[in-house]
Amino acid sequence: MEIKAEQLGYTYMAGGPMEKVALHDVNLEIKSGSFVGIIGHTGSGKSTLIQHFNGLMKPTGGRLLIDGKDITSKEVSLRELRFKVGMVFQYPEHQLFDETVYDDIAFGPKNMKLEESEIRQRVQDAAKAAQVDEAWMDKSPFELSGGQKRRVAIAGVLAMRPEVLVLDEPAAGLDPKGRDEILQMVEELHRQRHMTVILVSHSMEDIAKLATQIIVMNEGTVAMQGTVSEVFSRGDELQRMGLDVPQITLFVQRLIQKGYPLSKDIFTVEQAQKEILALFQKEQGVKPC
Amino acid sequence: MLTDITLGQYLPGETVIHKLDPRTKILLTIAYIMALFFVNTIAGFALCAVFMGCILKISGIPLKFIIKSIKPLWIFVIFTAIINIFMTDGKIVFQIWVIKATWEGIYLAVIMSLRLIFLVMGTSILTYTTSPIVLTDGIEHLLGPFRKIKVPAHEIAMMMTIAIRFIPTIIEETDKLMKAQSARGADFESGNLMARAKAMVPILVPLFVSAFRRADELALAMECRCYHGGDQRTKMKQLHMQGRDTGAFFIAAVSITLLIGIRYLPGLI
Amino acid sequence: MIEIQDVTYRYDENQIDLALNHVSLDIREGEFTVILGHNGSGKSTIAKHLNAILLPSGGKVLVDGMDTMEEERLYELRQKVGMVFQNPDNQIVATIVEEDAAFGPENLGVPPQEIRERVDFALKAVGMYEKRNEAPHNLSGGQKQRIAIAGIIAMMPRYLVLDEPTAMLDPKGRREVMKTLRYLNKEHGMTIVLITHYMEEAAQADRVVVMDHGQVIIDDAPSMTFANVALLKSVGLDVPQVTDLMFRLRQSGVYLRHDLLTIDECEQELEKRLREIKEG
Repeated sequence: MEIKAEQLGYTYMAGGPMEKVALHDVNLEIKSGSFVGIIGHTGSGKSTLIQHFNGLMKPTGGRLLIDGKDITSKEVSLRELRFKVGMVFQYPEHQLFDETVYDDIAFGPKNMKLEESEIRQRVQDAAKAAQVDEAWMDKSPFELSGGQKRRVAIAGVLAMRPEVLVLDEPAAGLDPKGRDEILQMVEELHRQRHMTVILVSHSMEDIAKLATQIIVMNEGTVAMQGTVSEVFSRGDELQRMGLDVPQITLFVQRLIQKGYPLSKDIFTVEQAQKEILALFQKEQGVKPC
Repeated sequence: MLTDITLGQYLPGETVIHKLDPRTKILLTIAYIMALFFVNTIAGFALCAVFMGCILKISGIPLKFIIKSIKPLWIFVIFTAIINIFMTDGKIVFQIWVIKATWEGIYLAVIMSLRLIFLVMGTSILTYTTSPIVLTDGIEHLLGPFRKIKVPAHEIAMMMTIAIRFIPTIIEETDKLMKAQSARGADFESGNLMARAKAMVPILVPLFVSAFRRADELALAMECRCYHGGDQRTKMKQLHMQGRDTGAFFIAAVSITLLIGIRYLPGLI
Repeated sequence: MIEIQDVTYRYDENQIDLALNHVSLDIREGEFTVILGHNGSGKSTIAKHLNAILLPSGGKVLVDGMDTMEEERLYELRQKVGMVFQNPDNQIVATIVEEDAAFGPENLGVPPQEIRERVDFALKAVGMYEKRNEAPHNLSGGQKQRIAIAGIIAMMPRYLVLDEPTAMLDPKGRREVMKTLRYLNKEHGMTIVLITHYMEEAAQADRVVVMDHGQVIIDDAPSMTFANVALLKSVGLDVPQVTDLMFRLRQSGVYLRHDLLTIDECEQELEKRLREIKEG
């Protein structure tokens, strides 16, 4: 499924005294099967933007096209769009409500009016993908720990079998171990199930590790769009917007400026280790310590 | 969107009305409401309108804000009007089957509606010119003397403050929950009353869970800041009655006397 | 000084695991201490013992010699040891910034004129004086958390304990809070105990205490703590990317110093090695 924004704009309370432009002139394209990272500081418009992808918000200017169709046109059923574009909000565990974990995960498929056997199948499948333990199924979601609740909430979205998965800061508030587990799960969904993933995150390190494309939002519009290396090579501009590049990228860029022959496209510690070791070997073989 | 609601009615300003001590404003509003029940003539309401007009002018509140606050009243106005028009005995204007409309009924309906409108107008001016926190402070002070008969004045004020503080937070949260559940296909708009009530469960349950969590955390934070009720507590901002408050009491006394007096001056209508 | 003496704690009597397992730790005045650990390591449990939210199942906590078990001195203790929590929304009581900062001193029965002075001082110290008449719900997360800190500062505590104050904030909010804490520590000599799982924050402290399974496993300067990359990773903590890189290079046989903290230090060290190798 392809998402395309053309001159998209959104204004809160248009015409009123409290009018506030949240988005303007947004042009972007998200290809089927891609893994897109969206970065931008709080208030840059990224949350408003992603809520357009499943029709929770409708543009007040311009168009949003899903597979070439305008979401405001009669051809598009907003209800079906919500099932196709799964949205995981920040702190999704706060939306759990049902008596058992099973029922909560089944909420989406039930709203889709599916057959009982189909619902069961989907719940089990989603639970497996989100690493929700079979033993929790009959428990109350409120008995689970924070990290477990979050996985149940994500399973609730996966159970609708969306083609696109949008996640807003899925690792917020988790410790490093919990964060790694969630991000690894997202990565597997992309790799094994070929889902299109849109990840909103403040962590440049996580985006660098996972995404293939990056969209940078600033002051309500798209400031940059491109591959990871295209975007992170413009570190100065990012810093002027109050954003960072991964520390490792910054470090390697500094070495490059000093004249060391390193690749510009280094975004992970593993890549840097490999390149720098090669540098040492080139200079004169590695000295044992 | 829920968060579009402008919260609280307070319109900040620097006018004399804004600067009056909240206690003055609360007491005068109560006096005004009581006086309204003595007003039962068109002339009386005309006088009332003049007074309200003057206060509006001084306080600088645009008329449209007052109209906005009166608008939701129409349902009550219609309801009381219907009851009065058809339930009062008197000279019949028209009759449908056994239901009779009377002139006396119509007159009473007009009076009652005006009374309701002026009542809301007066209290709106109070909330438009007084911030919730100052209002709460005023209530706490006015209830102070009743503490001797075990009225928990401080606790009532504290609860009101916390409620005011958390209303925007809860509204924001409700908005977020509605979006999150809509994203999973929840439908809040179609179906009969039962279906709609049921559709609210996925919003209400998490809302309550979170409200309890917030209450718990807030209580702990308050304890850590040595909160232990109203005993030996001081206040940073002290309320002081000033010259303008005396003036306001004087003007109000004259106005209210006039309002009530007009009833007992026959021949004016 | 806060002395934690051989403290054990169990949340639930039926639980076999101790939330705190014979912890001894001194918090010295003027120090900026960071307590690190993953969720469930006991780091928050330790914080809650410092102002008697929790009382030890075994052992003792002494604040300036005062036992936290002494119930009748609870307010004195809580005035001395101020506590800031994770969610800024759930610790702001009033609807106006300065009214919230006044809440603590009002509870302590401070005279009105002095409250005014304290509130102004506290709001200036956290850089929120200009926003004193605003409603907290219109402010950003970082700003709200600074107001929460001001509310504690106005109580004139000796120790400021913060239980994951940055966990819910964006990077900008985190930086604001850290800047405020460093300022309070350097300029006002405030003793700070910061509970976190962010390594960047630990790097800015005087001392880092790492907890795991209810025990202190490292208690050292940040540079020495970060040298223990393998140990940190094994207890589910992250190290900054450059620190990780240096560690990996050392493991691959490159001789590098192991007590490097900042990106500048690492750059210098790496360059030095490369130069030495080149020159033979």
